[in-house]
This record gives sequence, structure tokens and C-alpha cells, in this order.
Amino acid sequence: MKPSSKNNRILILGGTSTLALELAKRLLDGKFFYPILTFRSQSGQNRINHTLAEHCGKFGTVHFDLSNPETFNECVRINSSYIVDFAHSDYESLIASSDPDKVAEYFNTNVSNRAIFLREVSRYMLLGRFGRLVYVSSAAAVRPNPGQGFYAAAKTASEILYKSVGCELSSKGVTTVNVRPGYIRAGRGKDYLEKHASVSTDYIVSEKDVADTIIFLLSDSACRINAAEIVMDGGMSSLK
Amino acid sequence: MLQEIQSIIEEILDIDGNTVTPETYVIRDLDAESIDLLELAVALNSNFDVKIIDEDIFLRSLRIYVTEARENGEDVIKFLLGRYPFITEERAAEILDDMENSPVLKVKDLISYIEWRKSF
Repeated sequence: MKPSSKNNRILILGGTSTLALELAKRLLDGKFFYPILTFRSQSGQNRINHTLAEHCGKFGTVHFDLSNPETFNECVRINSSYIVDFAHSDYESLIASSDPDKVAEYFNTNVSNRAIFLREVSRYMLLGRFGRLVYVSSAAAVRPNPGQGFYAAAKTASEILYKSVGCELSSKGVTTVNVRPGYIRAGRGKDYLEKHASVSTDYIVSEKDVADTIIFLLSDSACRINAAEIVMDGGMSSLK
Repeated sequence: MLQEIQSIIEEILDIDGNTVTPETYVIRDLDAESIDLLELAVALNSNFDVKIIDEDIFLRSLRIYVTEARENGEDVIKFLLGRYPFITEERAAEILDDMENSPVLKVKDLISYIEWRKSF
């Protein structure tokens, strides 16, 4: 897939996650894009550099912390035409046993701050009259397991933010799409699947599946898929 | 500055920029919609390198402020000058006279805002 914009930079938020690194590898194999992955800590930056070592010089890294809007400016100024957002902090708790302070902080980081970032970055994209944003949500956004209530609420709210940008700015060339992967044998999903061996392999999505789908969604062929949600769970959520 | 704003408006609204004067109403005459105003704000920010608060430059809360001032028995013009420090007393009076035919935003308000921002 070649970038339709002259600007071939893809900003990958949450760049240290397994899925983000898989996406970066596949983009680098394609040779058309210059991925820029975000990190929150030195160890995160080291992880990116180590994982993508064979592509040295063909990707970038930038500090970004969703909990700290002061770090947004540098990412916005990269002026990338493409953004893939994996960023999400972790907070699993039953609603009734949650810590009110943590709840407030969680939504401030994952929803309010994301809205601020989207505001800034979409204004930049308007200038170039092109922007393609992919938000990596989760099938749990609409079907949370016990303990995933806050995660699901934040994911759903974030989806609506992206969807709204796609609705509001598509006439100016800025479009968005939400991807909802189901069970993935990576990150949080890996731990879950180890504890719940009963999940059929038919419903388990690989990192490669997610990366390839995102790459398609970044392509010109997918540009009319706007302000939409793509569910990737092997059909599990459609069953009774 | 007018020339630059004419050029920006021409690009965004696909009209002849030379027809735009300081007295042109941005919404009433040019039919600018909210998405156009957003693009205008972004372009003004980029071209003039000044911070743009969309809410202020487009006088979005004008009616709320006028109502608030009247309800509190305050001098409406002074109240508006406090909220919109980039407009003159004369312009505030003109806006009040013109409010029945709203929206009142003119190109000269954009110019005043940018000049005010540049003065910092």
C-alpha cells in the first residue's frame, strides 16, 4: 500500500504494545511508510528500538503520555497524515469495588485527554486537507466481561470521539475508523486466554490479522470506510 | 492583512477573494458554515502564527453575554469589551444595533482579533 498523501509518516500511539510493533514491522516491510512510534519511558523506547533493530533509521520514536497533555505538542507537530491509536492505560475492577479517584483519573487520561489530542491533531490535518485515523478499540467496548466496565466505557467514548471527527471533517479529507479486535493472544488478551482455555480458536485473532486489517484501512481502497466500526472477532459477538 | 485573509477565504469558501471587504459579514454574506469557520480558524492560526480561540474570534457567545449583562443590569457595551477585548467601543455599539439581523461577525472582527493577538 502506497500512501496517498505526500506525507508518508504514520504516528503510532501506544507504540510499545505488541500489536503496535507488529504493525510497524509490517509497514516497514512494505517500505512506503515511515512509522513513528510513541513511548512513555526509556524502557519503552528501548523495546521499540530492539524490536525494530533490523529497520534502523527507517522509523522514528517520540515521547507521548496520554496522561500528560504537555507531551502532545511534539506528536502533533510531527504533522503525520496517518495516525493509529493503540494508547490505553489499564484499570480493571468491578464497578462496585472501584476506587473513585482512580476512576476519575482513568477517564481523564483515556477520554478527556484523547479528546484534547484529537482536537489538536485534527486541526493540523485540516491544514493539509488529508488525514486518516484508525482507533484500535476492542470487542469488549460493547460486550465487557466482568471487571472491564471502565475499560469498555472509555473505549466506547473514545470510539465516539473518533467517529465524530470522521463525521465532522470528512468533507475536508479527514476520515476515521474504529477497529474492535476480539480475543488476541497478546498483551492483556494473552493472560485472559491462558485462564480461559475454553475460548474457541475460531474466535482468536492474531497480531498479524490486526496489523494487516489496519494496513488495509489506511489504504485509499478503504477511504470510504469512515466513522465506522470494524469488528474482528471471528463472528463471536454475532452469536446468541 | 486583509489581502491574506481574502486569500484564505477564497481558498476555503471557493469564492473570489477580491469581493471580500472588512465590512463583509462572514456568515450572513459568505454563507460560511461551522466546518468552514473551523478551517478558517486553523488557517488564521497557521498563517499569522497567533493563538486562535474559536469561541472568541467568531463571537460565538455574543448573545449569551448580552443577555447576561442585561439580566445583571450591567452596561452591555462595557460587558462586551470585557469579554471581547479586541473589539472597539464603536464596534460593540454597532454589533448591538445589528443583532436583530444576526449573525453579526464581519471580516474586520477577524482582523481586529489577529491584530490584538499579535500585540502580546
